[in-house]
This record gives sequence, C-alpha cells and structure tokens, in this order.
Amino acid sequence: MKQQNNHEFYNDLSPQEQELVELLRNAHFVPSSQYQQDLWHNLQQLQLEEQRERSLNKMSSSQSLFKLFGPFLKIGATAAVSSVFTAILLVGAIFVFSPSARAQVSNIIIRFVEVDSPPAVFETAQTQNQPASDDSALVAVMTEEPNIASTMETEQAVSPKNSAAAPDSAPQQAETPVLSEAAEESVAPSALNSAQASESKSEEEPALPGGGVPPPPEFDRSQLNQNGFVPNPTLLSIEEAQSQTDFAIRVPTWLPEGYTLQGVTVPPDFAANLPQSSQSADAPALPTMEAVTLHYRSQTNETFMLSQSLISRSPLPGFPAETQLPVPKGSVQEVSINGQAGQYVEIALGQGTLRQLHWQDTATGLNYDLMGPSLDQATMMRIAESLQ
Amino acid sequence: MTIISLRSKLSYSKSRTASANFEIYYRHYLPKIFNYVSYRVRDQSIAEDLTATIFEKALKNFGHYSEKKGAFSTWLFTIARNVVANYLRGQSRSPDMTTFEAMPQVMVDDDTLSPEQTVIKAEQFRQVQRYLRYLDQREQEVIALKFGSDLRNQEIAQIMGLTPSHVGVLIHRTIGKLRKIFEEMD
Repeated sequence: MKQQNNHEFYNDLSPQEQELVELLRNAHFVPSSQYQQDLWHNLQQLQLEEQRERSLNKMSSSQSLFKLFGPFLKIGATAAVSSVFTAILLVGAIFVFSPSARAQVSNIIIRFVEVDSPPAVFETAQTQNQPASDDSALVAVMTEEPNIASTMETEQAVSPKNSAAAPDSAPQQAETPVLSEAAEESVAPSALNSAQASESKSEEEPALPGGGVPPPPEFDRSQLNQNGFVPNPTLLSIEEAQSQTDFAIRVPTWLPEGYTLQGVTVPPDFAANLPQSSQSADAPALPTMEAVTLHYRSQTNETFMLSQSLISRSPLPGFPAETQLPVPKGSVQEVSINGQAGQYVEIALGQGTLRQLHWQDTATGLNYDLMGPSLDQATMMRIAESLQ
Repeated sequence: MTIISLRSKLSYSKSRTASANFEIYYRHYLPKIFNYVSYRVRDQSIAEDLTATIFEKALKNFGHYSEKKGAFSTWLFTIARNVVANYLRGQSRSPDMTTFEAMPQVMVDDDTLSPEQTVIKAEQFRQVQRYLRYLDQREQEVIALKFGSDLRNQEIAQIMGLTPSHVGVLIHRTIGKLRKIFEEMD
C-alpha cells in the first residue's frame, strides 16, 4: 500500500518533503492494548443491549397489533363459536320437528342394523321388543322359547274361547305325546285382550277435531311374560299347521337322541293385517310369506327349531335381491343338502353360539332354516337331509 | 494487515454471523481509526472517546451496511469524519493547547533505526502533529486521511467528495505547506 501511495505523488516531492512524508508514514498514534480490550468489551455489551431492545420492540409491536386487532379477533372467534352452536341447534330442531327427516334417519339406522346384524338377532329383537345387540337376551330366548307348558296354562285360564278347540287337537296329542294339552289353544289371549282394549278405547274416546290421528293406547305391560317378553305364540299340531299353509310341511325322519317335537307355530299374515292407511300405491310391495316353525326339545331341555317358509320372489325392502341370509362376513360356510345349495352360519354371541343351517329347495321355492345352539353342524346336516 | 488479508478473512467467515464479521472489521480498522482521530484532535482521551463513539455508531448501523453501496473503509471513515467534525465544531472557539504529554502513544515502524533514532523520530512526529494546527481544516483532513488512515486517493476522494486528482493535488500542496511550516518553526 505504501508503495502504491508512493507512486501517487512521492516522486514529485522535494527531499525535505519526502523525508516529512516518510516520517508521517512510519510513525503512528497507537491505542493502548487495554483500551482496545475495553472498547471491544463495551461494544459487545452494546450489541447485547441492541438485541434485547430489538426483541422488546418486536414484542411491543406484536402487543400493539393485538391491542389494535384483538377486539376484532375476539368478535370473530365469538361469531364462529356462535354460528357452530346455531347450526347444531338448527339441525337438532329440524330433526325434532320434521317427521320426514326423523323417519329418514330412522330408516338409515334400521337398514344399517339390519345389514350388520345376524338374522336371528334381528328377528328376535323385533319379536321380543329388545335391542338387537343384546346377545345374552337372544340366547335366553332361544333356550326358553319351547318352554310352552307354563305359558299355555296361563293362556288356557284366560281364554275360554279357545278351550272349545281342545277336542280337535286330541289326535295331535296322541301323535306327539310330549305336547302339552295347553298347546292346543289356537288364539293368544294377549291378542284378544289387546283387540278388546283397543275397541273399548275407540268407543270411549271421541274423534279428534280435524280428523287427527288419536295417540296410540298405552302399552299394557301385563301382556308380557315373566321375562318381560311378549308371550310365545300358540303351538299347533302338524295337521293344524298344515291346514293353515299352502305348502306341504316336511318333517325330519331322523332326530338326535332324546329330542321330540313340541309343536308347530304359524306366524300371522302381517301384510294382510296392515291398516289401509299404511298401504299406499307408491310403497314397495311387501313380501307375502307363509311359514311354519317346528319346535323340538330334548330330555335335557335343549331345543332346536326348523322353519319352513315360502317367501315371495320380490326382495325384502332394504336388501338386494341376491341376499338370502344377511349375516356378518366370514361366518358363513357353503354346504350342500341333498344336492341343494345351503349355508351354515355359526356366530359367537355373548353367552353361547348361534348355529343356523339355511337352504332352499329350488323345486318348490321353500326356504328352510334349522337353528339350535346345542347342535353341531354334522347333526344339523343329518336332520336336514332326513326331511320328508 | 492489508486489505487483501482482510478480504480473505471476511470470505472465510461468510458463514459466520454479522457480529463475527464486525469483530474482524473492528480488529482491522481500530488502529487506523484511532490514528486518524488522533491526527485530528491530538489528544489521547479525546481520541479514545471519539473512536469509541465511531465504532458504536458503526455497530448500530452495521445492519444497514451493504457492500453494494461501497467499500467498508469508505463507509466507516465517513462516520469517523462526521464524528470528528461534530467534535471540532464544538471546539472551534477554543485555542489548540495540545501538549506532547496529552498526545497518544507513538509507534515508529522502521527497523533500520536505532532506539535513540526511534525516540527522535517519535518526537519529530509529535512536533509535526503540533504544526498541523496551522493548516486549515480541509488540509488537516486530507493529511489525516492520507497518513493517519493510510487510504488511497480514490477512497479519500469518495469520503471528502472530491476527485482523486484533486485529492492528489491537495495532498501535494499541503505537504509543501507543512514543510515550510516545519522549516520556519525549526
């Protein structure tokens, strides 16, 4: 640098001036080393203070921003919360005050339950007015259902109308000696009581102004049996059941040791009994069904049921046409009974196992269902193959 | 320390923080700034105070400095020139009563000189410093920037707002004037 500076003007100077320049170049005022250290220390302190001030300024600026926009933020948050709350209230109000919306939601829930639940659970829950998921109740009902004697005694006592039919069922009693005398009653007293109660109520209560539908009568819990369920239907003999059905009832010729026929039940024709107001032209046609169920009981009080049903070809509402047995996946085993395709279902429930064998006679269109918690698959297959 | 070595240090510390870079600048420019300020005020305590003020200002504004605007030396000596000018403006009515004892320590960089010759040179340097007060402010300024700060004429021109050739002429004329003063006083 000094050489460069020399080049700038040094050669033009006189010797005295050059000597002066050399003096100014070679001599310097120098700061003391202590001063250098102290100054650098002070500068570092200053740097720290600067950083602290910058962070405080940032904080203060953010605080001032919050002061400026804080009320707007609060108002926005309150509006958002209140709008969500209002939306929830609105949806709830629509659900409560709109019967159509409520019906749609109920249909969706029912279909979901129907698809996801085994058929026995669904049927039993509907019949016994119990939740479909109550597995223990299902097992209890299946075990208790053929225990007809006590129920029949009660029905006989309150139903003098049905006692007239007792002599007609005497031959059936001879054929099935285990069948109780009380099983010969043909009409359930609960149904009679219910009909009488509804008639008397309709006479007493005047028609509502404007043609409104009167509220349904309060449910008479005295109709329930000791377990809180609707009483079992009346047991018939094979001949009696045959007289109420159009198809030929088939009876197994082989039974496991100790099992005897308790009786036959015929379900009422639900479609025929529906009120006219609920049958509109636009509604899907309800399936017509004729069915009988044969109830068997062993000496050790174990039971199984054999259902035979003739179902119309139209699919059930809510189920696809190809669905025969809506049960959970993985529990169905394809089987063959006398050349007819069938399905064996085994579902573990809370206190037991539901075993059901389902097949269809393609010639007659009859559906067969054999259900028994105490029977294994081989026994059920043998019973099914012995049908005549 | 030359400019080239300073650049190499700064390029080495590119990944370092701004404070680390400032430390490199500080180590490099402190002797030059102190020497420049001492040329202008010729008093150790005042030179120390003003040097501290200059570096404080530089540190506070270091974030605003950009190499695109010019060399760091130009930026730093512009600050130093303003600080000194502000000080001298306040002292314009006071007579310059600087004594040798009040001057900062002097170091002579000449290995060919004996210790006695070094002491004599230092005394001559102090004497020249005393004669600088007979120059006007612009002449003192250009001498301080040229020999105190060891800047090139181009850098001095940028700092003082002159052309490099004008700076060269000014320095040449001032040296001649200083020589005359030195001869008259001796």
